[in-house]
Amino acid sequence: MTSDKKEPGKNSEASLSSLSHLIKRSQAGEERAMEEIYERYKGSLFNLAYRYTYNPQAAEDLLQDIFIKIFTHIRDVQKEETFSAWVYRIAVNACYSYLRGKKSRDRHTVALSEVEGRKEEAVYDGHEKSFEKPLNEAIDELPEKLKAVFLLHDVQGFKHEEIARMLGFTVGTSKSQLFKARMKVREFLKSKKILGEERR
Amino acid sequence: MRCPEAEKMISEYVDGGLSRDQEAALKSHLEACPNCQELLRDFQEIGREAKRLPSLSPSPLAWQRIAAGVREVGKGAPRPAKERRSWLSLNWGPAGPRYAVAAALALVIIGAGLIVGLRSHRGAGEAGYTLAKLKEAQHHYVLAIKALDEAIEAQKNGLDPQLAEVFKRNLEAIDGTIQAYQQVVEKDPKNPAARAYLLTAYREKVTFLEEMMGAKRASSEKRAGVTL
Repeated sequence: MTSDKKEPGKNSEASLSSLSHLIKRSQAGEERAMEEIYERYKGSLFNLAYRYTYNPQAAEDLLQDIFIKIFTHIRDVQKEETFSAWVYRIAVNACYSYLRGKKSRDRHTVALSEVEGRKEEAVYDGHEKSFEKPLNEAIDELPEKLKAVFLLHDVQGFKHEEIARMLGFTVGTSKSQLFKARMKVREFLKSKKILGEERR
Repeated sequence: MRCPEAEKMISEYVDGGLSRDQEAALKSHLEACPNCQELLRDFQEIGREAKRLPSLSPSPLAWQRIAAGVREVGKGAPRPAKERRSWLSLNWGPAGPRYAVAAALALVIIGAGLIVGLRSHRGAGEAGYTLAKLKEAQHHYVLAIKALDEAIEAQKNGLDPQLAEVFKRNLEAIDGTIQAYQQVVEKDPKNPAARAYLLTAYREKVTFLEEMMGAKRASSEKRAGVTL
């Protein structure tokens, strides 16, 4: 596991200048430059994809789709300042498509449950009053757009201005979507007695 | 200030997005409203815990898959838009690279197993059931691998030496992974997650051996075609 929540040094001038160079080299078809771009974004995009699929293999397939799309359309990029927002928009759209296409499939399939031949049920024992599992389940229950804002803001640490650029709406919408997402997460966690007075 | 207005402000307050005046107004409401105080505590806790969620990494071979995909699209080869693209189903042209990539996929999937955490917290009965099923599946995989090894050995015609070398190297890598998981299982035999990972490695070896057998058969047919 790694600790990368957000693509590093995204806003610094030096980073932007180096990114600009990488974009130009990628536009010229240089694979090494593409790999460097991949290295910059892979962590945060993989985590985004993972929390839309909750399946590492499916997340890796999504990551593949996202980067193939990025590199086959990179010649369309004119301004490097908007590159990150463009990358995340591609990623989020790919995640939406995954959800729409796979709604009927069990999103929690893992090798273990296949072997068992039955679906796992959430059990929170005393030790596991921790947030990780129920929080992941709460995120999984969020509608796709609320999920995008929650993941980008609360999990990955982006600002509303950045999210608004990525998702193509206003800062106000980003804030109100985040509020709705947090309310839904809270409702879920309270229903599982993970939040609230009983726990405190 | 009424609660619905305060609730929205609480979300912004948690992120430090309120002006001084707004903050003062909210604090004044909070002093008199236990429900909004609770909402504030919950939002703070959710935000804190969301940032602590573990980060995962794609497998080390993910880039190779992407680079191959980009090259493929660059060549103008048709590519299914939404379907899962199996490396085994791609047309890789010459046999060597195709099977080398198949082996790489095996490792990718095995690698992916490493980041699948044990997702549930079961009671003792459920854990016992899981363990028994995993042991049973493991036994079947060992048998399947033995049978495939024998079938490959029985094929009279060998592989092209270059291709054989590729297979050998990749097989060694898969066996290395299996061995590593076997050691984990030996140390902690009651850990179903370790057994599940081992199972994934076995399954990939079966797939790999099937590919190897197919390649041998293809080599043999090619030779027959030349001599006829």
